[in-house]
Amino acid sequence: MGLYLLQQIVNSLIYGSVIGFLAIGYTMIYGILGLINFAHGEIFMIGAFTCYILVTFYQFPFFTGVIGAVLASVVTGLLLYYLVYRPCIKNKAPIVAVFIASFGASLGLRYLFMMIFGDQGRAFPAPDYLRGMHMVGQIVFSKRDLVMFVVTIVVMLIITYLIKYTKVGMAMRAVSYNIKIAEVMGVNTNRIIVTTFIIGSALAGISAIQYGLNFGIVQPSMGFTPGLEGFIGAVIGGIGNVPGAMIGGFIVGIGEILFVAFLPSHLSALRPIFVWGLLFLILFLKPTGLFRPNVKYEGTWGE
Amino acid sequence: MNSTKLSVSIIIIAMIGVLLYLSETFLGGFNLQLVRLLGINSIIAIGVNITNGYTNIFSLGFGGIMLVAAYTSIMFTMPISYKEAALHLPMWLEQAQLPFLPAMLIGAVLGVITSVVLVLPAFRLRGHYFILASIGINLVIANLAENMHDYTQGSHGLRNVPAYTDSWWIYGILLLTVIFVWRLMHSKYGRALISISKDQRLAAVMGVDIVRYKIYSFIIGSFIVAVGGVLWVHLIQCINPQAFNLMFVFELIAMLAIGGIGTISGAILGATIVTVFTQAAAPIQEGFILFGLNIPPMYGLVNLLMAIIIIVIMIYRPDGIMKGKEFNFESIFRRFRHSPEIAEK
Amino acid sequence: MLLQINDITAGYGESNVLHKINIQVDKGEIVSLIGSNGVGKTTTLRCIMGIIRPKTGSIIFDGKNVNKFSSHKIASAGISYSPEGRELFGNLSVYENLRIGGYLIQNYQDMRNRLEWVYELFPKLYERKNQIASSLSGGEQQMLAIARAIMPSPKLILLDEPSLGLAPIIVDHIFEKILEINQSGTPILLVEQNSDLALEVSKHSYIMEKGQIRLEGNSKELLKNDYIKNTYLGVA
Repeated sequence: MGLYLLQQIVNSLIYGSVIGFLAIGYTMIYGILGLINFAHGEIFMIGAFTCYILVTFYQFPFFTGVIGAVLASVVTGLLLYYLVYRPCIKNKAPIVAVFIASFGASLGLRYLFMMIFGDQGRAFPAPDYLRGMHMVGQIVFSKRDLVMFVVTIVVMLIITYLIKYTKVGMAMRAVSYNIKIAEVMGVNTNRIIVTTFIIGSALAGISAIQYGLNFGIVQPSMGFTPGLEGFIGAVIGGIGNVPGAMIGGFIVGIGEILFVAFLPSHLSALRPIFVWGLLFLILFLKPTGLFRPNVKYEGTWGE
Repeated sequence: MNSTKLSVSIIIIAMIGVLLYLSETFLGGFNLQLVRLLGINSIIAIGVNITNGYTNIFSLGFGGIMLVAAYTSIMFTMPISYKEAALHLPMWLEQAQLPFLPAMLIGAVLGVITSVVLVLPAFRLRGHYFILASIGINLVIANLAENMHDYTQGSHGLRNVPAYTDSWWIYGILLLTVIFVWRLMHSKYGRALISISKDQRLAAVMGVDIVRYKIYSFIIGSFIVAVGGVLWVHLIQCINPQAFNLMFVFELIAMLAIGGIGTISGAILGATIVTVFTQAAAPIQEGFILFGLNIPPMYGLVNLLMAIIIIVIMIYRPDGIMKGKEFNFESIFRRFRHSPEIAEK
Repeated sequence: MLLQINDITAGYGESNVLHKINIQVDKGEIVSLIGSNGVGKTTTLRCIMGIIRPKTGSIIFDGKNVNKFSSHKIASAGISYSPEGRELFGNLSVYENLRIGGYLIQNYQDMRNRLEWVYELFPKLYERKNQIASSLSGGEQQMLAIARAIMPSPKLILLDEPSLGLAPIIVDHIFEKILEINQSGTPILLVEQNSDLALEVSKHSYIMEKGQIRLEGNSKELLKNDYIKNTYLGVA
């Protein structure tokens, strides 16, 4: 039993990382702008699709696909900022309107890709050098898992260092807390917001590669569920709190896989209920999340 | 209401009645469907407006409520032979067979109970968290519908839903709804609602029991929405767990966004625009020939266009077209009769 | 003249709080802006700092017209701000707050030197340098707000209500520091409800009532002014 549990946890670590990176993206943007970027799941999806297109249609090497994915995600995130969120802020749109616009952006991007590619799943081009299994003790690791672990840990270290010890990271935290005063101190808040979008979107791109390698499928609707789960992870971790979001994401990702692993199989389709049940639990017991949130005001603009 | 207004209203209702009769008799399938969908969407939009438009609740959970109401009503109206063959229902349910109105009411009541049980506890959540929770309700209910195979046949959905809905039902209910909501908004209840929508804290200080009014408007809105859901399935004669999914919810929100949240006219106007647009533009998705060029089918184009339009509207005109004011004839008459005075202003 | 505020009219939304204000601050001096609650003193500082835009008039700082500058450009022009109510970054530590205060300092070593000077001025802050700002006492928070404002070696400091909510002993201590800062060469525009202190510490003063400058002049002479004595003094 213990072995089965351990194996399941190992299998789910990648998914936990996928959700964790998405959660960080949500939490950063919410922390700094006070708004939920519903289209974050689509930034993720576009990253995956870019890798798919570059490798499958244009025969580029996988590594190029990865770079392309991250770049595409970043570009999408910036487009969303400049075309949707920034105009909303400039026009002092009410929060409900921003929310609707955000929702609309998410659906719009999804339907755009559905229109071009159709909604069937396509095979994610995993490279040959990442095939293969290893055994450590009695636990099976795939080569992909190992590579992804390393990537996850490296990225987490970089992000944590960035947020905690660099001037930019401090500025991001300051802007999350009080954007007006940060501006008064000489912080170019627009640049900080753009930096936040870039980092959050890049993480979504990396997350997309992990997802693609793990599940092997790319399709236009793939961003919906991971996106929502990422948001739930961010809420669980304390909105605005980056390490908290990563942990929250892991809780959601690993918890979901374990939930399915230990339930009788005919109930496994109920896994969304686990995720949402978890959310409701947290929202009622500890609405601010497990860790300290990083925002002073909910909604730091237009009010 | 003075006698002039009353007679004008009666004339208008009579005219609409004649139009309906004509449309029922003469219109072809597509146009008739359009007229009917318009009516249903208007009803649903008005319902969503009551919940979302006044009391700072922005709930997206009405998709789940409609699903519950629709499935319930179907349980009581589907032919017994079909129920026996396709589903595994408890005996009393299998044999149950009700006329349209009772089934609708039962469905609506069950829908309201669901919404109260599931959404009400989420009320104390703030802003974005509440929205997230309400999305979850939709997904959870849809997920349950997919998994309760004995009752719902899962994702296959159910067919053979009796075609009870026709224009008379739709517009009759729409009329009732409009009158009811109109009277409501002009009563003490309505004024309290409007005060909450304008400034919640001020209203609370003035003695308005915010929580009570939120609950009332939520229940009323849910009921109307549930009725709309029942009408819908009995029109398209089938149902599946994705019938009222987030895309549907978004379309509804789009209607209110375009028409302007907070008014009956806004809801109807928005419903009209979105319904006509989506129905009229739908054939384009099949592919067509433009100047000799063969444009391939693009499924999802209409949704994409609508999303773009909504984003633009939210940025530049978040109040929608009606901007929170009701439509009235006086402003039109004034324009025609006293134009010089208006020009002076 | 370092700072010149000419005929400024400003407000929030449709209504106006300031009606044609004229204020001047010269190099090296402390100028105080006195008045009771709500007359527009904080609004004036917010206007200078670019947090709200004046509807008419101009603000000339160091020869430049800074009306239309965004707040961070005004900061890089050399004005820094210690806001009413401190407005610290409660989620950051003392050190991090100061670091953000010194955001515009390009050279890391310059920043560290400046930080040392600030720590010498405010030893209590050095003791608590890794503590989260929201956990400091009221007096320490005010010191941090001022310290944060002096980090970028500003050409002018806008100080809003430093005595607010603090015990007299602490207020005295803070005003000692304010004098020290001024003596090291930094001019200060001080907004204060505590008129006694403000008049004692400043060279020039402006008395504001209902969004207009009612009186102005040399602070020592204003201290002897009957109207001032009856209306504003001895209230602290």
